[in-house]
Amino acid sequence: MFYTLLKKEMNELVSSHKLLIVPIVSIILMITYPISIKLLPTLLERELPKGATVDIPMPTAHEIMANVFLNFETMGVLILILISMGTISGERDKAIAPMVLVKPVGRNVYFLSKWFTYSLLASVSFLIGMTITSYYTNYLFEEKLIWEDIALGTLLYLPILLFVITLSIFFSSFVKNSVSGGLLAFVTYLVITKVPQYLHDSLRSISPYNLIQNANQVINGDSYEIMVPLFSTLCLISILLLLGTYVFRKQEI
Amino acid sequence: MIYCKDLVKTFQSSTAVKGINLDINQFGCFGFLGGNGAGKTTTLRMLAGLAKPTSGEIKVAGVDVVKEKDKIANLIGYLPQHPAFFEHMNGKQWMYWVGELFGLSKEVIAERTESLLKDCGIWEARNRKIGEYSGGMKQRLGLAQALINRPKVLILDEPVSALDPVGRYEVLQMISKLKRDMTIFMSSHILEDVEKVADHITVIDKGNILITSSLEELKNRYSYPIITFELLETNHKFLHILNNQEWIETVRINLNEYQVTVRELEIAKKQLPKLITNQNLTLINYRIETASLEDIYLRLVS
Repeated sequence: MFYTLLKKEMNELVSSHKLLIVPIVSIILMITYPISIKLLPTLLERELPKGATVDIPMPTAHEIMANVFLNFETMGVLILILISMGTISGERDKAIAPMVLVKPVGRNVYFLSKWFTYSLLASVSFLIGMTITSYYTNYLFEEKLIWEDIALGTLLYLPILLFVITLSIFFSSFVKNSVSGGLLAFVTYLVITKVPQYLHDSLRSISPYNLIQNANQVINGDSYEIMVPLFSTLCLISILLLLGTYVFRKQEI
Repeated sequence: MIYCKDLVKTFQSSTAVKGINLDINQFGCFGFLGGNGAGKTTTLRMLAGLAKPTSGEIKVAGVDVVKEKDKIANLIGYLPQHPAFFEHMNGKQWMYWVGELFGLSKEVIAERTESLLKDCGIWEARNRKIGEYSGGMKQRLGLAQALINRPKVLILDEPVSALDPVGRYEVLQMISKLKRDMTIFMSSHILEDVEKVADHITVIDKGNILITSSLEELKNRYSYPIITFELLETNHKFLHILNNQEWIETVRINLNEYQVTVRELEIAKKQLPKLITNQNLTLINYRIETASLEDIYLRLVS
């Protein structure tokens, strides 16, 4: 059953070109930062009057990669929400959901097949983007990357992507309008990741934002604490999945 | 096959179904008649397990739709009023995908897909994207896919409303064949079509069932003869005279054409021409008919 639904979701990703668009957009979002940093001095020199000099300290390759994460965090998250926000609400809106759910299809399986598909798309796109960006950063800058740090930092960032997808599909399961669902998912993401940094230390330590920070620190080669934020983020994902499947089961289609 | 007891469905601001009762224990086609907003689609959605009743009991093929939701899908076929599909698929792919959802083997899916698409008249279009299908073709595909699991109960919501006359004829022929081996519960407001295939009729109005009966019994019980005649002149006083006759059940008027449902045909045959002559009116044409399902339905609803 799960495989049959997954097969349909994958075919849909191909026919809607999302399978091509999302990885390309991820690569563009990530790779533009190291390239623009590398080209910045050359571009500024052209603009300056003759004789004037500008001295910009060149960041290390690791600092560049850490910033790539931060850049991806806003635009990347928004794009992931945009591509996944209508996955359930859209099918309900177009009256396809009743055609499917009147068959022997468990609502949990239906929900999870969508979650799995978009999580896979987000993760693979991010991994492709990171691999290409790391390769070019390593090539463009003198100081070389420590690949173990990059790999660990990338892996630590994956739960954040899963969290974004889970939020988006959670709202899509009961908010009838896709755009409203997407907006709610984005606002909730901002609240959950940004607000705790202004709160007490204990709250900050369990926030998914702390996982992003720690992923950055791993890439920078600084000390890090991953267990608590990793555990809390995975807990949040599990709670949202349980709540989402429960709410979806209770919905009238 | 279909059993509902005191079935109620309430939405936030209104009650769509107000305690209906149904008990269908045999194969055949059961027409479910009602106007827009009468509660037909809501009832069918509850039978299919897509909507939860506010109260009451509902069983389809012996399975409690609310308590044993998982079992119901294998026993029914459901065609909504406006069937929708994944438009990137073609007709054949959709049938194969639905067959896989039912856990059928590839051989069975292939065999049933071919026969059902042929029966529904869309075999030629099987490799075309569903996005390119017309409304009628989608309705045919919707019927074909509702039958892939060989259901015991087939629930059809306005199955011929989007079809052209040829399509309607073909689908109704198909329903006539299918009803020998399953229970078909079919909603419609095209009474002429229901009359062609249904053995039993249930009429719903404003969430209440007005009558459940065999078509024959319904006609015997409610089918008064109808005399239709046309006059040259318009005479409002004449309408008043007709309404005061004891042997007349109802009078409907459209311009100068009168449709009179009569209780006693023999009396009417003698009296009506007299009334026309007495009023010095000119009769253009005159015919006696039997009431159609539409006439009975209008009478019941009014």
